[in-house]
Amino acid sequence: MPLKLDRLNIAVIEDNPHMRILIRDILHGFGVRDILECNDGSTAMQELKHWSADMAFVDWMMEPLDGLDFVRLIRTASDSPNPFLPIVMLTGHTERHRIIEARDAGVSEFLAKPVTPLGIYSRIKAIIENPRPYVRVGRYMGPCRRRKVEDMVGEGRREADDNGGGESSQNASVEGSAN
Amino acid sequence: MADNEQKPKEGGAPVQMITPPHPIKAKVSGSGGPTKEMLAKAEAAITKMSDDYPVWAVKDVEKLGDLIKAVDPAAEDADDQLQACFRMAHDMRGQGGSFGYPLMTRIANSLCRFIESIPKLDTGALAICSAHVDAMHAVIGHRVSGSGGEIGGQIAAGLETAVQKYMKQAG
Repeated sequence: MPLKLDRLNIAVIEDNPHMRILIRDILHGFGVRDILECNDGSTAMQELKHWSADMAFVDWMMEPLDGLDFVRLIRTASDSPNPFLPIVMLTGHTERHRIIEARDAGVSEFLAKPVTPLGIYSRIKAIIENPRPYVRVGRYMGPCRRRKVEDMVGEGRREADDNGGGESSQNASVEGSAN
Repeated sequence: MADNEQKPKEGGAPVQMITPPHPIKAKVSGSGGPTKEMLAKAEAAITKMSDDYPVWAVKDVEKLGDLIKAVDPAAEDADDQLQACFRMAHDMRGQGGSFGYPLMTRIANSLCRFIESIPKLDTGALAICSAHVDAMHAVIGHRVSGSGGEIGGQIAAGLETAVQKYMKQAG
């Protein structure tokens, strides 16, 4: 039996209108009915104070507030609407150091563009079925970072291609520096 | 929150482990993959937009071309000008494959990688950037969806080779 997603509220925060509509329509195709669309992180921070999201798909490169800063604000700002909001980072960045940067900002899942329906579905499923503990250490607050980078990128990923395959031994054990 | 425990961390900041509430679980039933019908609806969203993709993509390519032409290596804000090019190319990298034009993604990816690694901005570097734009024009102009076949592969590979050659010469 597939996931029945019609009761979920999902925010789509993406500055490119075509990508935003695409993600929205894919979510509709999966049965999601309530979708909040925002075109940058700043607008989303305000909107989410009045709209209770169950999870958010967030683009990385946006102005004036980009996806990473949005994630950091959600996790740590005193007026955050929900520090535990599950967040899927959507981006064309697939380099390993970028994935680590996103993880260290506090993202829950990472979805590399190009976007596919299965990629979106698999991230929703991961958030529902594999919730992770959160950790607060130093200035970091977010999902526990003891996780392989490859697992963050997950099914349907493009190659994390800036290491030429030369870091396979590291790939198996990359962890957050502080937790 | 279900629980909240403090763990001292040897020689570092204290670590607070938190098990957050998981209200989403109560709102969702089922556990398997999507049905064929769900996938078909989701795929239909892509198909619907893919038909229009070349219309806006050609405008994006023109805008990217204009941005690259406007870059002045001697200008004080040359880095900012180049970053504007990167942002545009980065957007196109994400869109191409999403809308059925992975060759656009490959070319845009090559351009993004190049812009990120240009050792010294000069006319040669900008010529490489412009060559990417020309290739994008060709792909969109001829509606080359998919990988572009043998010719598409040759175009992308040619750009990637040009980048490698430039980088080697630039040291």
